[in-house]
Amino acid sequence: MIRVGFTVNGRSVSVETSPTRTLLDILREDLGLTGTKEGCGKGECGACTVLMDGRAVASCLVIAAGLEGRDVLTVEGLAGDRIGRALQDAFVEAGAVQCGYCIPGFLMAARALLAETPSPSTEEIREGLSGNICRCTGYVKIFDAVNLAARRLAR
Amino acid sequence: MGGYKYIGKRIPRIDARAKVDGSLRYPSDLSAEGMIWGRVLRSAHPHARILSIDTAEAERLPGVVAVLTHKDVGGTNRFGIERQDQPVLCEDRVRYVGDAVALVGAETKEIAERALDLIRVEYEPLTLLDDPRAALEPGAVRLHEGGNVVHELHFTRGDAAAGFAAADLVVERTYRTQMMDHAFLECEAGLARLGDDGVLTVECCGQYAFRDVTQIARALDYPPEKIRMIEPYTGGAFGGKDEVTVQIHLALLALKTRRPCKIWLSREEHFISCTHRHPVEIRMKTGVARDGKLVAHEVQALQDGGAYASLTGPVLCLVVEHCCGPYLVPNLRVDGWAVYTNNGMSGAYRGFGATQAHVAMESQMDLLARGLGMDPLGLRARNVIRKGDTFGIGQEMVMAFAVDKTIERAMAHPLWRDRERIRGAAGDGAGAARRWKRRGIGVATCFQGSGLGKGLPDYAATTIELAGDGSVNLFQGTIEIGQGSYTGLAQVAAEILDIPIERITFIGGDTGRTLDSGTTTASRVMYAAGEATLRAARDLVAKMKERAAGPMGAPAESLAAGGGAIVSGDGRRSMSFAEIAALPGGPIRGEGWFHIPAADREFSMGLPHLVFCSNTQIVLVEVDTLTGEVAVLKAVAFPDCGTVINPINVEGQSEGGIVMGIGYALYEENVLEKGRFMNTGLSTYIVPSSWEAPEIETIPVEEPEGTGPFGARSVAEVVTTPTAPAILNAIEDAIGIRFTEMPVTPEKIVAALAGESAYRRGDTEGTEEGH
Ligand code: FES
Ligand code: FES
Repeated sequence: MIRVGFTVNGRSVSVETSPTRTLLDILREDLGLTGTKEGCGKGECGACTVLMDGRAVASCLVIAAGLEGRDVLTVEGLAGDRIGRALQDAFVEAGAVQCGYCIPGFLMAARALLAETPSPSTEEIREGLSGNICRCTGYVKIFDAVNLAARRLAR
Repeated sequence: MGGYKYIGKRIPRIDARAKVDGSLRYPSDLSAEGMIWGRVLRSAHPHARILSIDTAEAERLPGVVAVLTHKDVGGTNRFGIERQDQPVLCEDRVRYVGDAVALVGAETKEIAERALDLIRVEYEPLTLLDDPRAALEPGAVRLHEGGNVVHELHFTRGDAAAGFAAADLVVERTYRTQMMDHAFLECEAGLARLGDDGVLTVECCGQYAFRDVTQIARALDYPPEKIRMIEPYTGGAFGGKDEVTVQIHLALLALKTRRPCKIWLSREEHFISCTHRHPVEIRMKTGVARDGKLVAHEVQALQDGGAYASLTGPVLCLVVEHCCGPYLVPNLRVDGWAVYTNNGMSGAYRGFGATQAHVAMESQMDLLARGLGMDPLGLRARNVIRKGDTFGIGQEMVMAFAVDKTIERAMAHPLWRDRERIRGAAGDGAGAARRWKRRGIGVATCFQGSGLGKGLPDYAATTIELAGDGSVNLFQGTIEIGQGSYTGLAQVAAEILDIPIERITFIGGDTGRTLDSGTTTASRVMYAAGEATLRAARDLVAKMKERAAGPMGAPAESLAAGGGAIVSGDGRRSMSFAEIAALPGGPIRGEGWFHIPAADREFSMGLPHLVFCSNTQIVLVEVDTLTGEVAVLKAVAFPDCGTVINPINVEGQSEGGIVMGIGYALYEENVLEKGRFMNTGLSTYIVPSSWEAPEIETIPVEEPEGTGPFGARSVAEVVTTPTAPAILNAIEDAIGIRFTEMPVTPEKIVAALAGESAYRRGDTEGTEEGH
């Protein structure tokens, strides 16, 4: 068992856990933040994407031992973030949400993309979201939503 | 449309906000105080006798609460939607690698996982049956007492032999469709708890909460009135959560341990244990006259059902029902068999047999058009079923149906009209430098029955209750699996009640609170539950008028609903819904029922249907002849779904259906070797990613159906069916090679282009001139 201290959505947390436990399990089981989803547990679907120090990572691949001092943003913290909030609104309005299970992961990946590339081209959106699988939407309205958010943020 | 406030409007989904802020609780998100984790020990063999199961060591592991086997099951220990032949926990035999042999409950999921390794099961492997053809042979090992045939169907209409003799062109091919995974993003999950009153509450993923009650009660011999299922939301389903997955195991563990328990399948376990899209081998021989009229059609279908029945029989029925496509064929002979094998499990999957049938038929239509030198859409238009026609296996088209219009619209679309020019623009117009890229344009048309079909109970029911503040609570038993029906149903209620969507609280999929409204499958919810909801809303209005009549001093008939109030005929007096709710007389509740119309005579289980939807799609592909990669650049869809209740939802279904169809045509296959799954992760089982999504245009053909709410029918399955055959047709258009086996991988294309496979350019083998 180790104790790690890190920040989640601006709040400092400290958890005691086995060093190989995943960030995904810590978020969902220890901190009750079930907005971050698990679709494969192996880094293959993107459903568990969170931001760690601003970078999109698969939280199912991050283990506790590497968490000390990190700054983690999850879907629950998006509303307090200018880009995050714009993305949430755009996903709702553009009809990008169907079963919704993949959506937290897409939002986090899109948040990382727009922070780096405020007006992405379609190719850049495809690239930025290429680690995330959605089985329901065919991606079309997800691209629309990212575009819509980018346009609004540019105003 | 017709001055509606909510119908036909692009209204955002009522559940979208809770899905983007992470607050919506999916079955896999649930937990409870004192909860244990359940894990299932799956079979080590695709076919074996179980000699012994020793759980002692696993039970001794600290943190293990229970290790259960078939001996702990009180009831029939069997489940299955159509017939109950699948064990909850196997007794003396396993028939596929997903078979459940033991069930562990432990304090943590890690302990549960470790306990699985400590269960000692002795097996004696039995002869493997992994070839559906072999299953039919007389000496074959028998997988079930009744033999290896799950279901067979044989129909003839007219005289096929005479029809072929009179044909000017006959095309014959054998098509092989592959096993496909639903690959929904949320693996099967749920939480069960047993109350002190003996009520067992199971919150889980599913597609029919009320049938799950029956399946649990029967398998475990537990009183159905003491079982409550709560299944409103799930992370995707597509038919893959129709059969029981975790439900009975959850119930059993909760009953035995009296602790809340959670089960959540891993992705690998999902791939191995779940039902899939059936692999079907379909031989088709189709004859056509020089003028393009189909004259004869002969079909043999052999469907691999896997280890247990689930919905294999009904799927075969739909293969047969849709084997002519949406076309009239005067002379037909069709023979279908579905058999048991040790190849995993197959069952319900969006399209339900119609998908496989159309892969074959729509390929045939293109081959015939090519042979006759006809426009492929022109050939289709020449043969379409119209309202009033007797078609297929002899059923009549009596309801609204507009496949002809979907084809007409496709013909007029620029992607089809300008196809010569568009085809010539391969390689992004880079000209000579990219000449290894070849473009092709393909079309396909399809149709599909809505609802469960003849002979099966097929009704929907909605309750709407007036709340104290004048808002309403809408109770609906179907499930929101991502299709958006909760929003569509709320729009129907909002239109009748004339209140904003936000004034409707939706309560879904809960056997303790909602009425049985049938399955969330078979393209039936928007149509059937939609009509039931419309009737419930009308009933609520009628009851509010009765209640308000006295206090308003006006006869109920003179009153109407408007703007959240009941208003007098002259518009001078009104009583708000909140004021009406405060009147004495108890709660006001509207109820609505709807039975899906059924045919007069039954051909086989669920055959035939009476209500149909259709769809035509055009796709543009670009084939890289060096790498063999196929990119779908654009797709246009013309779904014939009746009145569109919400355009965003219809587009969303269409876009998702098309990309799923791209996966079917080009990438996806559950590969089995000797009954074992070879690809059990999302890096080896490839579903389309953001790179594969084409530009998509959806242009609904709104032919209203009088029995549906505001003229709506449904759309969930026809959106995916034409895509794969349209891609096969487009590939032939691009490189002159007709593929009859999916997925069409780069390896297959490269081999075919190099002349190193059975596929040849301009292949006419199997095509013969008639007489
Ligand atoms: S759950 Fe982490 S990538 Fe799939
Ligand atoms: S919305 Fe269902 S997986 Fe993306």
